[in-house]
Amino acid sequence: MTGNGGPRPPRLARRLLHAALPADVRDDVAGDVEEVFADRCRERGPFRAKVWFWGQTLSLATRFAVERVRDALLPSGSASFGLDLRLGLRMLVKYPMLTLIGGIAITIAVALGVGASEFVRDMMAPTLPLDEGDRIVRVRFNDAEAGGTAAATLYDLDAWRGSVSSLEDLGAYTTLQQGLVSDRGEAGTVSLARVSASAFTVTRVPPMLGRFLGPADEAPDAPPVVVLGHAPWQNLLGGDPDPIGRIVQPGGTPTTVVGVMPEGYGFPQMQDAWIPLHASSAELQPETASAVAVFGRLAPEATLESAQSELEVAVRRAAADHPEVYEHLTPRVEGFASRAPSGTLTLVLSGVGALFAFLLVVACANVATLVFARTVTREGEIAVRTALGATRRRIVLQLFAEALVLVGGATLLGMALARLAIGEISRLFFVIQQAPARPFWWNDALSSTTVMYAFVLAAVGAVMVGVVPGLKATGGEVQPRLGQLSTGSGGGLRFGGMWTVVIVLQVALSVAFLPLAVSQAGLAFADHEDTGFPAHEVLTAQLGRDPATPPRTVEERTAFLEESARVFEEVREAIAADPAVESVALARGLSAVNHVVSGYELVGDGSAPSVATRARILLVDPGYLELMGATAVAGQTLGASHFTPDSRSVVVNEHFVDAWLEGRNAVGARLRVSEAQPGSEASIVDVLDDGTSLEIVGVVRNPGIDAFGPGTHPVIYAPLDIAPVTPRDVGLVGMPQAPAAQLFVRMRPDAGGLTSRLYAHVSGVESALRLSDVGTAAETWRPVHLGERIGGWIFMGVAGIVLMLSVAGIYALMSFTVSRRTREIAIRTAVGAGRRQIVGIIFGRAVAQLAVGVLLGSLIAVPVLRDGVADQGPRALVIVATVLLVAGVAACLVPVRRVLEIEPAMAMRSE
Amino acid sequence: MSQRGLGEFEQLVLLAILQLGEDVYGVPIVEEIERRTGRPVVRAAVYVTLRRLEKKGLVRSWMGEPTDDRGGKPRRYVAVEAEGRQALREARAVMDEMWRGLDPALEEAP
Repeated sequence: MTGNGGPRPPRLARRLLHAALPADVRDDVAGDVEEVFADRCRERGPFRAKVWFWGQTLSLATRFAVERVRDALLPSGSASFGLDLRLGLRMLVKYPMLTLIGGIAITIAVALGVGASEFVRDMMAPTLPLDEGDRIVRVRFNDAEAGGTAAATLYDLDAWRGSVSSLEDLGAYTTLQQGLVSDRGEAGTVSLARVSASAFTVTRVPPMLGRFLGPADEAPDAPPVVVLGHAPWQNLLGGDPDPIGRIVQPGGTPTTVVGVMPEGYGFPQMQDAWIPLHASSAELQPETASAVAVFGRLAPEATLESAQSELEVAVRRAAADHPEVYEHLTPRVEGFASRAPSGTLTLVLSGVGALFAFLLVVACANVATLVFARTVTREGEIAVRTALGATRRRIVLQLFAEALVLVGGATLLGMALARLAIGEISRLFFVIQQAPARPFWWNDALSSTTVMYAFVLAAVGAVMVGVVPGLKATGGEVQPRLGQLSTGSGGGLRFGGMWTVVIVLQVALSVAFLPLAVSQAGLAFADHEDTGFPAHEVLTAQLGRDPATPPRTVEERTAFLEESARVFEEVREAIAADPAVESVALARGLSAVNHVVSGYELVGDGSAPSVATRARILLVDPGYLELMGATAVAGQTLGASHFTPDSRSVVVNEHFVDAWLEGRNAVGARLRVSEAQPGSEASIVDVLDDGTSLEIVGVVRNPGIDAFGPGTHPVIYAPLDIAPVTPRDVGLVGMPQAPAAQLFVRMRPDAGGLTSRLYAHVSGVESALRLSDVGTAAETWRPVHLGERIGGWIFMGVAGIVLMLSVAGIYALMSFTVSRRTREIAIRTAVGAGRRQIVGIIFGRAVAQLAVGVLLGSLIAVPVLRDGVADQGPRALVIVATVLLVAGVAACLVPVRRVLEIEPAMAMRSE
Repeated sequence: MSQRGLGEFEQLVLLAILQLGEDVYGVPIVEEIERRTGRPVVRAAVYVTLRRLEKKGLVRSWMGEPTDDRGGKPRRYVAVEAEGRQALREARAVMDEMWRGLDPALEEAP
């Protein structure tokens, strides 16, 4: 049985089924299908049972989708509209190719539109799933001098608590990843928040066990206490029903557990352990106060605007006392999780909405072409119905109902797909962002606004697919039509200019943009397994170190960071001494947040002007490049002689040469801070002596992966010793950065148990060190590659749909032409026209359309590809043009055969 | 025919529930119809029909306890309401009326 460890139904199918079934019958119907699945597994084997499960899923999804449309329309609509819908359903079955092609195209277009707009909404303006969560705010500063935002400090918090009445439960937090060891030796990593006690009252969520933090815990001399989240309580304390009073060690400090929060609680972001935020008296001075994130709840009657003006008054007061700190700062109150002001959100959402609405319009224009071709085959039926008294409105309504079934079904399917995809893609997104988990407020469900947007898309689509062809098919006089029908000459409908334009544009767009899509998709599908080193034999981990008390001055922070560098070196030696370890390497990004550095000027050998570059800088130790398989392809690699404090030598990878030197010789070129963009980012050169620059001594092969992900970017590798301290690390601005390094350990073949020994080696050097994200290099970077692959699939999907629609459009046009001109062909054949001549007459138009489309597309594609980055572009252009031509001609084959089979006598007689 | 008029498939589903007696849910209904009619049944159609019959007040349903052997999901048991029986009787009466006197004619047909 499924519940007892037997084969499970396919996961994707189960989720699709879950999404497709109405809530009131979801569990029982899914349960029935799983019950039969289990029986079928036993009787016919798991493979056949899984195929069966997929069939049932699709069948149920379709039936219930139609049922939903029916439920939605029937109460308000007339009974005849219900009949029209039923007829529409039959039409879907009767024309399976049209249903399939149109359905896929609209489903994908809707899924992309709905998914993108929901994703933007969730990212930019999420709703907190808390009691009156929209009234929880965050406060920071706009910094007029430095540009951008600046964090508030504990000094600000202290001042505001006494003076700002529009905000209640004001509090602050800082976060970090921390190792946590239980009193029984279980070890793991938690997302720790140092929080004010009001973090719990502001969210209005009671603890599941024990208590949450109180104001008394914030006192500097209070005994250390921790509130645990649901996950560490389960994983590290084994779900102990009475965990209160147990001792755990976050970062090596024995700390008493006083409470456990319920599952799903993760305030402020995705935290699962909370300790009090202590504020010493030094931290309450404006010059030395620690930067923190400040939150609060709007008091009853207060609004964002009233809180904003009250804070402005408070900050103006502070500026009078401490102009050097507050002169350039203005406070900014905003929704706690919002990433953009509402105006920006509206703008972005409108842009995204319009873009994908356009995509849907393109898809629907194509489907409309196909529907029109089909409608023409029912011309007789329409003319007769009109003659019997059906109004034009009635007939168009019928065609609209038919289109609504197709578009409505596809929309529902598209929404279900989008919902599934948002969950998966957001998970990946946060993995790629190197966040420990998704924010607690993340919600995969589609918002009501998004659902409305989808319905608007569906309505627009149904009008395009049903009404436009319907109006065209019912235009003109009935009488001549009936007359033509009776003489058998076919109706008076023509496959008019509009559809021709649609097809030509379609082919042109395919030729113009498919090559770019194909080459991009090709990049994503590049062989990621070829990392240049055995990624399965290399363990990677994040190594971090937190100060016992936050350093306040530049000197203190510099000293802490230098000490950390020494400690990391000791860790390296301790691990290297393990018999299962072949080699160890350490690498550090220039800053802990983002390794991209811009504002360098590349001074070449005089053969080309200097250019401003943008690259990632990675500080590496002597073993790193060798371990990554980044061997020198020009000049030298970083050797022992470069690892001296006064060394200014760096090497770059091949991507760097391609991006900034267009393949010219890089060895000997120098990098210096560009005066054009001074101080645009923290940089190594800032801490070098004035006037010195970095010399590129070699170019190394692109490693398959790098310390920050796939090796697909320009990178400058500098010796780890070159700049142990950077301004960003010193943390004068913004949140304090704890130093972190990426550890790479090449294992020997018999390295059993090395992972657990790594923790021991690290804590043996210093118990406060934290080791996180331990795994083989292959495992660690897989999600990143997966993200690229998903991108590749989306590109391939869109490219495939465009191609499919083009081919289908051409096929529809050809079939239409043949059925219209049967009589003419018969006469021509009867008077002696040859086969070649007939084919030429009939298919000249299709070939002309293809040719015009390909030509037009190439004209657009060539400049796009020339400016684009795709090396594969020109080849892809030729391939796409060829595929389109071949597919277009192939689409003509069936109609061609039909033409050639026309027997003049038979055709004339039947006419 | 009554205002409500039962479709053929609705009749099949109602009759299958009555034939099965107690502890009736989706899976045995599908099997019962397939067994008695000798033709395959689209499972989805049965669930959609059951939901529709319940909305019309011809059938009532209640959830059973969740069981491990169905991925932890409960069964939905169904039974025919008095209105459902009445609708079946009316449907049969209509068919009987239509059939009346036709047996000889059908027997003579080739």
